[in-house]
Amino acid sequence: MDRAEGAGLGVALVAHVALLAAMSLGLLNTVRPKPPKRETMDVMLVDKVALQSAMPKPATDAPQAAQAPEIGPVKDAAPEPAPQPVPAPPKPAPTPAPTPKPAPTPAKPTPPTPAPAKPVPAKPAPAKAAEKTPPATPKPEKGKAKALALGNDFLKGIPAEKSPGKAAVPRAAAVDAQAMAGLVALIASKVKPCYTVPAGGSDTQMIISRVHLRLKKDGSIAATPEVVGNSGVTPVNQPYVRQMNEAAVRAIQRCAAYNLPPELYTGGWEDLIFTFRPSAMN
Amino acid sequence: MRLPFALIPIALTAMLSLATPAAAQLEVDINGGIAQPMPIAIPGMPTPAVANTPAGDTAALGQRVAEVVTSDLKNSGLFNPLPKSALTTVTHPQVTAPDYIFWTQSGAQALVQGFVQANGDSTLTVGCYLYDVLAKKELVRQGFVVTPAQWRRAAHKCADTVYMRLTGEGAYFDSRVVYVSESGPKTNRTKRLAIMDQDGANHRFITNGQTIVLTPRFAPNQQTITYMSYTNNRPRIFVYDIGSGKQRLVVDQPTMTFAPRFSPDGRYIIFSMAVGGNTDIYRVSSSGGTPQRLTTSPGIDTGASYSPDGSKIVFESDRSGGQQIYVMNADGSNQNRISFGGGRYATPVWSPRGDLIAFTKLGGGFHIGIMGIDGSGEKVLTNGWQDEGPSWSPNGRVIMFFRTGQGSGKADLWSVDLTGVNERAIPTPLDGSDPAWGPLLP
Repeated sequence: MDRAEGAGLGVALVAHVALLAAMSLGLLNTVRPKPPKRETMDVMLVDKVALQSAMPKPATDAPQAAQAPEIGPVKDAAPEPAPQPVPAPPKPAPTPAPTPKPAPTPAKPTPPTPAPAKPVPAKPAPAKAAEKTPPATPKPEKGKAKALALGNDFLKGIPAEKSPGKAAVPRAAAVDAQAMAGLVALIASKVKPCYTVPAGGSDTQMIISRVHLRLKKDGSIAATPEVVGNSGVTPVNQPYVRQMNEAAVRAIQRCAAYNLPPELYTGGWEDLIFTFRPSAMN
Repeated sequence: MRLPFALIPIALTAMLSLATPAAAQLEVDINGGIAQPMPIAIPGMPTPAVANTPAGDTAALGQRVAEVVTSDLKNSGLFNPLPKSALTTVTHPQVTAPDYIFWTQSGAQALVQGFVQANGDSTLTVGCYLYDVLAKKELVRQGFVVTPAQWRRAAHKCADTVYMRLTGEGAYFDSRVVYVSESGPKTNRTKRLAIMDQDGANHRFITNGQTIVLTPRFAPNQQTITYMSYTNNRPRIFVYDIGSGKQRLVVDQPTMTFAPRFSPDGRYIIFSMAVGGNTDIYRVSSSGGTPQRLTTSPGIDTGASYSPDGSKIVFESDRSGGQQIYVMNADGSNQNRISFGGGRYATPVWSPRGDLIAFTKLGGGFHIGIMGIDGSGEKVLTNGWQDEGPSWSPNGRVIMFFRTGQGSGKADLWSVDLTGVNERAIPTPLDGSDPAWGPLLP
């Protein structure tokens, strides 16, 4: 092998390597294998996200670019729960009702004593709460975890996959879910201080109340909060279900109106389901 | 089962669609709240027309009824009545049309309004209305017709109505307590039976203190009380008729009889009797007769108390060495020990709800405790130096007992909530011991 041959061989070698590299890159570019890893998992690393809300539909007016091809209309996805009658207070027989005849003595218009020191529940700063309230410990919820027989971590990871169009716009959707999770924590932090848990034995505290609430855009209550379900009810604590439900509804009413981020209203806090778990208090 | 790899995503999707219904509502979990008494407003009750009654004019009575309701609800520990300064005057027409705007601003979550009206037949009607301030709706209303002398009972009934509706618990404010009133030096105490409303009002003595009396217990009809009295230096059980003021011996035998208690239907009295050095539990008709022996074990069996359905009896026995709690059938069969915690147990009392037994725990002082009827879930509720003699409120939610001070020997009545909170002293004119809470008044 003379010098020319050697040089030629070297050039050929380099050229082959270059060609191989070029082909590999080209291949990568054209074939596009499956996403290397499920980076969308990061979406769900926010705590305190309930199952159903794990992947809330993206807020329509948030990152518009993120609007992946939605499957199904957004609005229809939220079926109005069947209107369940709130337990009406029993109207006992009209016992001696005071005939509301005009007061004989023209009651002097009582000077509206300015309600002194009314116990306004301390409102946590909303902005802060959104960022850091998610309490760190993901308590395994008794009933729920068992019913699904799946680990909490597993569940947290799943919704990212089922979300349609996720792969196309992972980043924007992640921001969205994070905003929603923050919103959930924010709402919870606003309601908690108003939730006076009725005293009672431990059996009573096992009663879980689910309450549906629709809010107006100004944060006020659109319709009386409605109890849509109970769990944890036993023959022993059955007599206390009404009181526990009323306490839950009262908490929502006491804290209204809600000051929440307007951009997350539609598809976000306009339509809420609260799950009150008094036993998780301590 | 092994799924083909390719099917796993499909299976997962299917599982998820089952797990999460197609709801787009935002889910918010409220895993906490505040355990605090409910703020409630109880303004003075107006009268449609001021009228004089033996108990005062109806306008003044309206204020006092509201005060009694306020005190009852506050004492329950579950309510925080607004101070008078935060209330406003309610006119008679407003009783059925509350000023929700004012009461919402006051911070109250519930509102009790009512009226006091004099009737033509020398009775009073007390109207009682409960409103949910936030929901702006009436929750319950009730009217009570009483003689003017019984105006406090109408107030208690109103408080019971509110309490039941807002807590889901049974009523207990309209009830009475019989207890042993004590006075005099430590070595020579005068002990008299006394009876009062559960809040300490309407107090009166029913024995004169010439003989020592202990462990009074109401009959279910509340017309009679059974108790132990040392007559001629021998302890024996008697029945006292509140109406006639007469008392009679229950078991006419020369032996010692003590620790009596009525059966839930009032037909029997169970008690302890010492015969030949062995104390056992007996049952006798409340009208008298020959006692029937229920326990036979060597040792002291005493402190018997019926279950509310009358089918079982809880009692204490030292047959195993120290005092422990046992449960048996009402005929004495199937005796089983249920207390196995450290220390000794005495004076068991079956809850009127049937689910718990209150007792005095001995060891490191005397304390009041509760346990399930099978002995499970034992919980000590008080930590005084010497707390003993528990008695249940009619709704099984509160326990009254007596506390003896260290050294002084002075005893006072106290009550504590089933959950061990809201411990408070019951006012009595003199010292007090051995309280027995009667059933709800009819």
